[in-house]
Amino acid sequence: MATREAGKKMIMLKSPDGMEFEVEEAVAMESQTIRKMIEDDCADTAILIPNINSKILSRVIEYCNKHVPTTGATGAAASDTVAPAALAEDLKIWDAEFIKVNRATRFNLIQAASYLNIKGLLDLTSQTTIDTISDNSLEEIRSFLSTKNDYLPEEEQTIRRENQWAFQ
Amino acid sequence: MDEFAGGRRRPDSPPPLSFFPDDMLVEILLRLPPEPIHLFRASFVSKLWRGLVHGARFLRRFLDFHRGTPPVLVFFNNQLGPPLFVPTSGGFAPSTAAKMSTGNWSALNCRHGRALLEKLGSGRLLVWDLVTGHQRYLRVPPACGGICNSTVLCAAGHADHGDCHSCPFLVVYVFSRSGSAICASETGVWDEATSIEIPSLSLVPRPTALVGNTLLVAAKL
Repeated sequence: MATREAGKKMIMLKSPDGMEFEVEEAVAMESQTIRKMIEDDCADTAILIPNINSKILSRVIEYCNKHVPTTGATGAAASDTVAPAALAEDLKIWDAEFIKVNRATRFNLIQAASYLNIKGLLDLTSQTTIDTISDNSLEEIRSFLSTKNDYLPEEEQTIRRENQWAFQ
Repeated sequence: MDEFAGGRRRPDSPPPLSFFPDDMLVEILLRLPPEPIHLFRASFVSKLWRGLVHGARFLRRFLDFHRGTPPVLVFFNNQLGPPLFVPTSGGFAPSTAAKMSTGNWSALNCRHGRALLEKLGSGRLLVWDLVTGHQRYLRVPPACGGICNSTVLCAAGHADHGDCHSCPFLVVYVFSRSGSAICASETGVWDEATSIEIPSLSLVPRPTALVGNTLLVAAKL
């Protein structure tokens, strides 16, 4: 339910497992999906976020809280006193800590960032996944992403023989 | 790395990524480094991945994502001795290149992701897309003789030549005495281009330059 608290417009987000999160509108609008709902006046009552459980949704809100611009809607004065470069560095360190989660949580965060269209979170979660796998062997990549090798053994052998340079 | 530990599914294990929508997998794969080896290796993870990273739409998005100067993958060398094909790093070395040597092949021109090579003494040309590996053999133009200058270029006429792999191409030859000839990839046939004869003009065997839609060829009077 949209309410007002200390001059800030609040939005209620509901997870499918019944938890409710009251967040500032500016924080919720870090999600382009929610922003569009608000701009289209579809957000008078609580917004149900399908497929994102309360554990993940609370992490997403935590991310948005940290990344909401420090000027404008939230009225925070941080940018008046802290240099932008220092803020960016602070966010980078915070992001690095934030993404220290297990594989399941990270994949769920990717799904959530994709559905809610939060570019920064999608960049962070996807890039971390790629950084984890890009220097690993095909077997390790398959294992990490639980993806199945559907090449026939002879197909794979031929590929390896003809492209040995790529597998060293 | 403990994230790789064991292939067994733990209670907190995510569903197999194949359950994820392809567009989410695409979001991850877009962030692979721009050197072709990374896409190349990704295509061998599974046939699903191969299908994704080979799609024209994915490749366009991949180029957009890594906007900027494309990586330099390789130098061609026409001097006898060193190899014809000199990769800039271990990240790119098509197997075909290993069979090509400076005594047999000469690199004529590179543009828009394609290389134009001539097999010496055979009258054959090779237009080679180094990233996709696509190869197209052509005959040298019939009027070829004396000093000539040749080039390969994308024929699609778009402003941004970042993704010309599926575009048609042109091979252009300019001759010192007998004008010029153009071969389009769609027909594979050489057509004589309109030319103005300037008797005292002679070509300089230097690389051509493309400015907008105008191909410039070095010559001296």
